[in-house]
Amino acid sequence: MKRALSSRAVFIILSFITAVLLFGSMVLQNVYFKADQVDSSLFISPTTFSRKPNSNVTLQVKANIQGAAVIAGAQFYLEYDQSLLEFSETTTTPPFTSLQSVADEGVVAWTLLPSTEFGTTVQLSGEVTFGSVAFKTIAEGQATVRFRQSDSSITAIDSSRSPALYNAIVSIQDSSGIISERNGEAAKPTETLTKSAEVLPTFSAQKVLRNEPVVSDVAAKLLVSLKYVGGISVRFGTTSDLPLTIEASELSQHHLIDFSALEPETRYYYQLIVYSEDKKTSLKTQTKSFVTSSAGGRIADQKLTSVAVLPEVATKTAKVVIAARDDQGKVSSEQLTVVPVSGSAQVIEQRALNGITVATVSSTITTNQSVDLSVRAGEREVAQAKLTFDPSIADHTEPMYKFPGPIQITPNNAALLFLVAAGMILFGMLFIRLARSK
Amino acid sequence: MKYFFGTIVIALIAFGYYSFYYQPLAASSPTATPVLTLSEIPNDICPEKIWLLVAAVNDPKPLVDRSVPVRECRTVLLKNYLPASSGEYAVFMKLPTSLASSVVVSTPLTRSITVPIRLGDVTKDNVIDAADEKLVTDALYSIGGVADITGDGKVSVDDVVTVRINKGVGADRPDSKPWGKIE
Repeated sequence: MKRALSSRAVFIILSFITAVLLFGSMVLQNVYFKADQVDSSLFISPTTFSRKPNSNVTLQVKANIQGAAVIAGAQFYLEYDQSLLEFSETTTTPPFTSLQSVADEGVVAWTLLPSTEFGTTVQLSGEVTFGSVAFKTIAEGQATVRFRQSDSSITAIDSSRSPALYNAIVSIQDSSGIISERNGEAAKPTETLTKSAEVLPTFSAQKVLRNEPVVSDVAAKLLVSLKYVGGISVRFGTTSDLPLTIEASELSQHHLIDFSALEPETRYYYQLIVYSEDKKTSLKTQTKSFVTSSAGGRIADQKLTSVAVLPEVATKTAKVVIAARDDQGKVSSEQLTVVPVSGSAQVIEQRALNGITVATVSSTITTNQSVDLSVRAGEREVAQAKLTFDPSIADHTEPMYKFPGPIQITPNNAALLFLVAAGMILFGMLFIRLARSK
Repeated sequence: MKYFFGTIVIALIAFGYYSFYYQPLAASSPTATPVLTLSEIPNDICPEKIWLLVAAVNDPKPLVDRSVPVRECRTVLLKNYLPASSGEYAVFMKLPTSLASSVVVSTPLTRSITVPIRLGDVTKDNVIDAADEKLVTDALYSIGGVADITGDGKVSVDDVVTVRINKGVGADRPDSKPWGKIE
């Protein structure tokens, strides 16, 4: 009996189907994971101000958006001291329009939507200005304007999840100012600081393993690694009373904290407060400081460019944070790229904002490996970094989503290994067959 | 026979790939029984019941037209409400403040299906329009109530956004009757 299809034809058809399945799934997986939630750091600019009583102060509400976010609306609750400030008005910046702003008992509730000409959503990335809030100063003192984290939201859409709406805010930073008749004098930074030696051991098992700032002229990123998963808030400022606060809403073992709207060539003091998931216990670190760089640098210098990796030992992904400076220590405007030079890893995302470049490096290899990274300005290497991928360590690096969907697909290392092995066998066999073919 | 071994190996690869990779992804249902999964419902919303209407395709007379229980806030055992005989049926579902959704299924039901639920019909007329948006906007910053679409206890930008992105008209009943107020 003659067969309808020869063995060779069956072999080729099956090979083709298998190859399509293998490569199709890989492409599909990449497409899927590109549609992800985007983190945003919300802040008020300027972070510090000084005014005389009976003058106006206008504060801009901004966010550093760490990717292309599809934003459908925003809501900010701003708390202020009524005895020092009087709310005047809110003003939006395109593409947003104000839906409603209400001031009551020291809180401004403000809701913004994309303007009608933009439709129901706008796609934004980088530093975004939502608008400004104007106050009138009414008495002397130190006034702080801060976001109420529980009610503030940048409502974005991630269509790959259900429900698609999520709050993109992962950290908030407030603003503080001196209101004094001696305008300017009282607001000068206190150069001497009484260093706090206390590290309150109430959060007994928790430890801050790393606390490293990477600084540009107007921004800084603080790389923090904890022994265990925890939340972080940072008190900071140019004065010893650390009047400003950054609240990071995620619980994680590794935190990349954004400082925004900083002044160049200024010393900032900061203290970390690490808290447990239930916020009942906390750990305060010693007060440390960093100095922001000068602006206007040109060619990135190898010695003065700083690079740091978080975490240094990662399961799947790590962030590489770079602040390029020229030979004068000024922030370099050169565009940097991160290139893996050894090991199996890819740079899946890279963004530069306010003088700091952040690259996300990912590995899909299921065994331990070290990856050497080269930071380049064009063809010239300006810095090197090293990181280790160890898939076996407990994965506490992934942020906890505030709106978890019922179905969460995560990269399956076993499946990937299977695919790679299957692909190698397949093409090995094809090669042998072709070599033997007459 | 020349390619027999290679064919077997590749068939095994394809089978293993399907077994180990695709099936775990497809098995999103908590049970092996085919279910109707309601998606796009905010995490704080847990509907205990949903209005279900089942009618044969091309026959407007409803076979099922009643409120049915929702398991674990998200799934309906659809098989319980479909005829055992083979055929094609239109399944309509509606929550009090959602647009009516519909899907056509074939019986016997062999696989789970997912249907997005579009919330925001606070005026309960099976249309999400400017009237719904105004009602929610007017209730902004208040506590609870029908305008709290996301069920988090407060009327916020999330509720306004939900109305805006879900604007549209729900599916009509096959018998052309009004949906009426579903509680």
